[in-house]
Amino acid sequence: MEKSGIQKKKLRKAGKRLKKVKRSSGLFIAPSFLGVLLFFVIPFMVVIFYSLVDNPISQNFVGLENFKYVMGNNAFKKAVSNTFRFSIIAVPLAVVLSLLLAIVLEAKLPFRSQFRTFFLSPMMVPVASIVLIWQVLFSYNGVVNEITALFGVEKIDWLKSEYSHIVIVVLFLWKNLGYNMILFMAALASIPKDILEVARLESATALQTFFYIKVRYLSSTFLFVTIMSLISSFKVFREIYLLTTDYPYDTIYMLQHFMNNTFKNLDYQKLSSAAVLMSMAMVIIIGILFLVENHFGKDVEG
Amino acid sequence: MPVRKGQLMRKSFKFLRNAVAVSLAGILGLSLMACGDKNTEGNGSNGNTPGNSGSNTEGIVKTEYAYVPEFFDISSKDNEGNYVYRGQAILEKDRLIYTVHNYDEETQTSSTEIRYRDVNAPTEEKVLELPEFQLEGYESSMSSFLHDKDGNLYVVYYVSPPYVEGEEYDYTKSTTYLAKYDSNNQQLFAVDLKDMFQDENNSYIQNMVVAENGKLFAASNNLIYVINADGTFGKSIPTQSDWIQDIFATEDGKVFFINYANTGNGGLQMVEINTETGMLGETYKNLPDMNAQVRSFGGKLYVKGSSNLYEYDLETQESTPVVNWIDSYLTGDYIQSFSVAEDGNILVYSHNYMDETEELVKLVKTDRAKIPQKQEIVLATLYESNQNFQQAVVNFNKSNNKYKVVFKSYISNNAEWTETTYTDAVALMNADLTGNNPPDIIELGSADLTNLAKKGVLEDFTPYLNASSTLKKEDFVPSVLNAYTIDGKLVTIPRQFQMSTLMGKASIVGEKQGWTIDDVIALSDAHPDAKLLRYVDAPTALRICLQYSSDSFIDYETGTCNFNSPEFLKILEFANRFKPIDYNNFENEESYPSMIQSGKVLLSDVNVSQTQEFQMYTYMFEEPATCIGYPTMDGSAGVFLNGIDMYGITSKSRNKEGAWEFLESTLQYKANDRYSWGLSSRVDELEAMFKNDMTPEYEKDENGEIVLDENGEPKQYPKTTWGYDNWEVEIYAATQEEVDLIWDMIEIAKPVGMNDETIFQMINEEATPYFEGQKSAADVAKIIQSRVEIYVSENS
Repeated sequence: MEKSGIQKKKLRKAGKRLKKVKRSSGLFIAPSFLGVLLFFVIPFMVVIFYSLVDNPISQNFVGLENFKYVMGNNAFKKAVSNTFRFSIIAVPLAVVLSLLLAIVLEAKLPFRSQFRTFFLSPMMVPVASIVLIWQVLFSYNGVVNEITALFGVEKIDWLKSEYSHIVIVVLFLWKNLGYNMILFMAALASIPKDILEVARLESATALQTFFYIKVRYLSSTFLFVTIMSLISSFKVFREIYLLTTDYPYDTIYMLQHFMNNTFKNLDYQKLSSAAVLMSMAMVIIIGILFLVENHFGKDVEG
Repeated sequence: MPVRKGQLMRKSFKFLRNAVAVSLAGILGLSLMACGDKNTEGNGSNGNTPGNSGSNTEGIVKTEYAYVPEFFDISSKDNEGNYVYRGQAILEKDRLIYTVHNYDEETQTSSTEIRYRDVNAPTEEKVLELPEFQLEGYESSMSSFLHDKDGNLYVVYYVSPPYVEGEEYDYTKSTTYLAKYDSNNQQLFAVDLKDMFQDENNSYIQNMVVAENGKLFAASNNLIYVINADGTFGKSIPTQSDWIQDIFATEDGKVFFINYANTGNGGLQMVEINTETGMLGETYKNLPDMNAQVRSFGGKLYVKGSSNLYEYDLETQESTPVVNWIDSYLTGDYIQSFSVAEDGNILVYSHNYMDETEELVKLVKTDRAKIPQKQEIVLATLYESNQNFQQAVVNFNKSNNKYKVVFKSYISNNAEWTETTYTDAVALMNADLTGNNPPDIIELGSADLTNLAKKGVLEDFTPYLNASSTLKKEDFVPSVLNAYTIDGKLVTIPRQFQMSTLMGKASIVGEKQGWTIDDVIALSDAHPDAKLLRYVDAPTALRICLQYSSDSFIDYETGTCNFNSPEFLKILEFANRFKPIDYNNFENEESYPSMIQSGKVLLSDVNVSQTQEFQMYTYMFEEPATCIGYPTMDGSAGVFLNGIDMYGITSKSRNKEGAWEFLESTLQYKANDRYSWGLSSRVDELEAMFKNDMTPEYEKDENGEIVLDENGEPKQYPKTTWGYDNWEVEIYAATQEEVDLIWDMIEIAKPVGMNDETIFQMINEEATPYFEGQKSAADVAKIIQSRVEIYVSENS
């Protein structure tokens, strides 16, 4: 009886401690939770609400009509296709090129520190300055056309022609490679040296070491860099907008142009349905990326 | 079993964790995209998105105290019933003192005198008896005056030789005198300021003050003259500005002037002057209104703005609203002078120069809680409203016991204008319109009316008109109602409207209204040596061609357009014939009417806001002319209609009845009661105006008989005189044909929507490199097609 009394007492104490820990954990989490709730979850619910009503004024429930309209709208389709095309080109390039740069800079190169700074410098340049530089370079009477004219090449309207897509991809890479490169360099540095040493003793070639060891250890970084690049690719609107205003040449008309313009025109229902569709696409893409990462990196993470 | 259950739980937890992570990633991605937009706002080199700079929302000022007005009508008329013209008026401590200009019909001479009214007995007007200021062979008139703290009076006289018919007037003989009188009105000195006015841009005195050392500081255009207490000239002080808005002295004798800053972001500022040395001292910024008038009472500085009276703190350079003029049934722009008493009550002299009424108003400081409250109707305007509409609000607020209209403007008069000021203000207004506390009425003159109507922001006026006991649809011009009926809803009724069109000699453009772009090109081809219009460059020509033709290139139903079509290329090529306007050569140019008459210019832009204005254009051609209109693709005539004073009721308003009651009252205003630089939307007023314009005024002899001219026809007085460049014409009573022509135009006139403005902007932007010879027409057409199609598709 005494024993069970002591046990009960201990259990009660442990229970109390657990409750206390839970309460304090809850308190610690509360600000973040409230922040997410206030700034992400609730606004997203509002977005879902607007996507189901006819307009922000009368707010009559129309079911999925807005989704039907948006999916049949040429501007939306053009924006989706351009955004998809941009991401499918720019994101893999951003990942692969930054990895290559990281590998190159990991080698004992002369001036590697200067190179690293050089590739990181675009991150420090404010967007307005980046846009200014790009305007000076790629406007119709810009530096690039002046230079090509020296070789007898006809002027190209870089920002108002099919070439605009290339200009934006180059801008995106120029701006984002440095950050990705640093992430890869950090990941490469954290690969256990003993495993690489074993591979070397086992006469593994550099390519074998890269693909069978480094790539597997880099899988979580790959995932992170890809997701960040994907998000950045959606954010390229900012630069495009500043370069070409709200109605650019159609090849660089992005999803966020559609959303921004519909917002300005008080078409919240179109904006919201587009946003919901896009978030669903993002969930699917990121889900797939998680699966891929799980597949390639599970043995490394153990 | 427990192990398997635990494994299952772990698995489902893992699944849940992954699902939550994926969902949050999606939301995060979406949110981060939104962050991208926000970052754009501050940095925008092309910044058109809602942003964080420039816009300055001026909300409704709610002070702790209300100022209850007591009005005294002090309008005065002469023997013939005409309002007496008052010049400068100053509210001193216990009296309103002002200059009055008199004209003696018999002697055909004018004179000026100073009169005053005791603020406690304002009905009685007294004359300040001053010794006559007269120079042999000259006429003099007072231009400004000032009392100093010792009761001395300074008066500025403009002295000039009389005008003699047939003789050339010698302006060089005119001069300005400054006279000083003591408190017994005895003249102490009178000095000619001619020698002081060395700079011809600063050869007058607009305002003056006396410092504590007795020196007089007189502000001219951008110089301040210092005149010593004995009348001798001291010095002139350059102010490093283009224009001095005002000069004032505090009660302790410090002198400040107000001007626009030439540095930084500009804006209005106060600069202190060292009254001993004349050096410029400290500068004070953040004056709350571009029309600021600053005065000092009880050791405090007060700033009169268009909307409020503020107290200004020199130390913090910040303003605090004291009185909202509308709240006290006053129109800020009509307030000429004010003073603040020790008990906090405020005296105001208001002159409504539209109807010439003058009022002395005592604003009694009262605890707001003690005043019966009315339901507020919020009237949102992008820009601060003009005085005409403020007066309409004041009249409504004064007479209505249930409702009170208050203004909410999104761009302050004193806003520092940036690239994003307008778009930021529109974004704020849109947020209000879609939010839970929307304004009740919205001013539509500067808003995107079509878009707001299509988005359901605006209420349909039709049911209100049907239910109204004082107004009905038939009271208004049908084409005006049609112009503002969007998607079947009558969203606004402008109080007035103006029209513009193209006019040409009937012998050149034919007698039929309406033409196509091909006709315009043919006309231009047929007269290679003549200009199509006086001032027309390529963008203007492009706009003229597209103003009423853009629909032919756009199909909102399918969300497509065809700006890469041969028709559009033809228009571009035609517009490219017009070279840039040489703005430096205007002075040497022949007058416009002369060019029209000789056929050097084929067409004229015609604005129609009054019958006489329209008549002037018809007279200018000196032969039958046709209002052919702007070209269209189908050959009809394009006549541009511009609504004035347009207000709509918001669909989400919680006080629609009150909002309609106010708008109903404004639509019942008689044309004569308001500033009428436009045609009335009311049929009865328009007909009355035309009837009046068609009624001849005949010259009569001393017996009251109509005088006949050499042809035996009654001799008419001209209704008015209109001119263009150096050409002048007397306008007589309008003919039925002229009035019918205006009615014809009214019937077909329609506005150009804001949607089209966005498209015009894109077309113009892209066509410019072609006009500058940098790109081919096909290249720019391709870009225009690409950009406009996105816009059309978004709005389909």
